[in-house]
Amino acid sequence: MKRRFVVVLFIALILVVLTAAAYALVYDKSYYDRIAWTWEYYAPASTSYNCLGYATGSYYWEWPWSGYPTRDAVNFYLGSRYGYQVCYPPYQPRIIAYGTYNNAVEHFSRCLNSTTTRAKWGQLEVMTSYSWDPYYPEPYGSTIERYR
Amino acid sequence: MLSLLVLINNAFAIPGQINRNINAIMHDVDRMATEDPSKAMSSNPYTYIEGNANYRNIVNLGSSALPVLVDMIKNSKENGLREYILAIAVEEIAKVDLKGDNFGWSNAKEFVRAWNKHLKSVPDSVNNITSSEQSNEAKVEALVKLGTPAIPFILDRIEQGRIELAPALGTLLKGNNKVDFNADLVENYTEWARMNRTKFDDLRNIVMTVNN
Repeated sequence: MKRRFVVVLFIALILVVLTAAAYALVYDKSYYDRIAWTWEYYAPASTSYNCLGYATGSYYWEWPWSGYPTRDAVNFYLGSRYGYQVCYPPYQPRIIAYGTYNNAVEHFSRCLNSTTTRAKWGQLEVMTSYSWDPYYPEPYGSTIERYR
Repeated sequence: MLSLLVLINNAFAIPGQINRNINAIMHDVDRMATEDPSKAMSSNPYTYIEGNANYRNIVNLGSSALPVLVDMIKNSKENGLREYILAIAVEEIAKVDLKGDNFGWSNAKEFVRAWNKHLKSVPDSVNNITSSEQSNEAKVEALVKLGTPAIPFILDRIEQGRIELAPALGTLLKGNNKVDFNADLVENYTEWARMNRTKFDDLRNIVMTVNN
């Protein structure tokens, strides 16, 4: 009986360790708190794909520009490649583009519903945010354009 | 015998050097997150190679590295940041911009297709440009856009007496580690082309392999 208890305890311990490892953030929570005011871990960090690859669903490191694109360049790419068009309320977008200055787009998220977005943060994790505009001015900024 | 030894050395040394440097770049990418969070959050791959010495080492390998880099991208199971950085290196070594204004490529595997398509077009493009009615300046500009894979085919034309194309070499050979070409100092372009053509056999082979 005692032996069985030890085995169960051991298995439980392993599960706890594995679960913790699976959900471990690359950096301290405070690091992510400086990026967005609402975020929740969704998937692990990876250099296999980036925010655009996650937003479009290609799951590649997708970047058709040689730097940060303008809003017009993004409109052209998402339109010609995927058929997305700029949209305005009341339509719910599928992709949201973010930027900080001069119309330069720096980040993309996938819009899940009227309150939720999900995005790959650079080389880091995929995060769920309970807002369409969850980011601080640096590094991602606010919504520049919405697409559906 | 010497060229055979160089060939064998390149076959083994270049993949090793590329692997060491791209591994170091990816290590730098990890480290960047703690040193400069704004860069770590970037999806723009060019952010990760800015001022990176290991990336520069790959580019400095020159045209001998081109087929190795392209094979590495092609054979990789991934289509991520690592492969994208290798594709950027190919473009920089070859002095081409295959993205252009119409999204010639958006990920590393797409780059390989764009690269092969470009190589296939080089011989005909050089022919079409040199035989066109446009001004010499426009011809030179168009030849430069074809990048270093066009060098052996431009040399062919110069050897045939088309010395007005020599300024294209001035741009395409800038920083080349095999030859020192200064258009103002070369007295006889035709002779220079004849004397140096074999130094670009590797580029000719890269183009002809795709065209055969």
